[in-house]
Amino acid sequence: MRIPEERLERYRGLKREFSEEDHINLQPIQRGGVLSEEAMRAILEFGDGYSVCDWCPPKSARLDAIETPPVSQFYTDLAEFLGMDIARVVTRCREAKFIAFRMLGTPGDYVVVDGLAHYSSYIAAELAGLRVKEVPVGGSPEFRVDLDAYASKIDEVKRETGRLPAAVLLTHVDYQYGNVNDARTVGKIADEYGVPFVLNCAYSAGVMPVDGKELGADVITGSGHKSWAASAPTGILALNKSLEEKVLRRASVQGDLTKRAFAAKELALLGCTVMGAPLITLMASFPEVVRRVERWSEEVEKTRHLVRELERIEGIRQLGVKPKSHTLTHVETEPFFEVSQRHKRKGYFLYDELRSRKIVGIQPGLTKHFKFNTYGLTWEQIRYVADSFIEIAEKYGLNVH
Amino acid sequence: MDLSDCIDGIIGEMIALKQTLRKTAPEHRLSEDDLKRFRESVNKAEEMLKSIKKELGEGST
Repeated sequence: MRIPEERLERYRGLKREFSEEDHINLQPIQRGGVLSEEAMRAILEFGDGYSVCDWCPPKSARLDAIETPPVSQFYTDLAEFLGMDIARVVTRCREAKFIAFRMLGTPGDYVVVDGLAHYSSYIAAELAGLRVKEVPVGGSPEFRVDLDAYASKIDEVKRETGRLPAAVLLTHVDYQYGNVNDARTVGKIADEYGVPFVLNCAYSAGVMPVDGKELGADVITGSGHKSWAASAPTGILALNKSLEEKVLRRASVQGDLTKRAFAAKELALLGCTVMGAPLITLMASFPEVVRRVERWSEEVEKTRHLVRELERIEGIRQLGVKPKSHTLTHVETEPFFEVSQRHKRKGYFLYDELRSRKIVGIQPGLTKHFKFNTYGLTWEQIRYVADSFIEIAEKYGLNVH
Repeated sequence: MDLSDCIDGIIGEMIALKQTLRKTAPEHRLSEDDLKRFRESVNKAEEMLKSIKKELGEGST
């Protein structure tokens, strides 16, 4: 079918509704994925379809064997950086979780997950044919995952099914409150029971130091577009050598007529995975990522400063563990909700006020509570955001201490 | 420099400037270092634009 020209016009000159060059973007899932300068350059060079495959070795035609650009070296460096033995780049963190679940379990098995796990952890388990056993989460305001309960949940699975769960999964930093869980506790429990430990590092690896060996992780999953200054879609699957045969098992299928076989291909990866812009931006940003995790404590300090400033507005409080140990933050903002009830723009007043000060990323319409992320902002930008919130509070007669 | 090198060079300089804008948004209070970098990038880009014009047989006006 021919699409009319006027409709095709919609695809010309695609632009975002705001520019990162003129606004401060606090969107909770976007800060860690902001591209580095090198990545912006690389995307122009390698944006074309299969351009990273110019030098794909004909005898071992596999993405992880490409040496120019240095994909092969990158996979090695990526594993080392995460304190793991092997790394692969896949489409998303959820795909990495699915691959781990699918290859470690058999249908009907359980996977034990924290009660604050991302929905994609549940869906990955379902697609892999696994059932989910949840570890409880404490109440407000801290919402701590009861890490010690992993042991009782593993026992529960064993009593119910007569066998151990296929894996346990811990969300290193949860998406709701930005709490950093002590992965070592779960790593130790998983090791004692001999159950593979999958650590979901979507919000941690790439922005803060993560050492899989130190944390006792058997598998690490990560998100390039969330935390590695890379374009979407990029996921990271890193594992220990002991799981290589299981998780990265080679394809064994053979055509019944042609007898064609594909023994070099890694089955669960369906052969080659992410190429082009996502992979090349992940690689190009890697040096900056290696350097930036060393500045993590300063990033956290900036977040704490902003939280302190926001809590000067009477009635506003940070949810989750205090003080903050991650830049993803959830705040309860009842006073702004009260303002919204008498404002003609209702819940959108806060968005409007922030937008007029060139601050974006707080979900439009939310005033009762919202999330934000300050990762990568300069001190000057942090102070600008703090001053803006105080100014808005004072404008609407809220008490500021 | 050939045409494609000049074009890549100009884009590279502009990308560097975009990064500076991102770090200073929304007020763009540029430090001495930022200003220096801006001037250097603009000058380099200007030189490359001149090369392109020359390559195309046009004057530098």
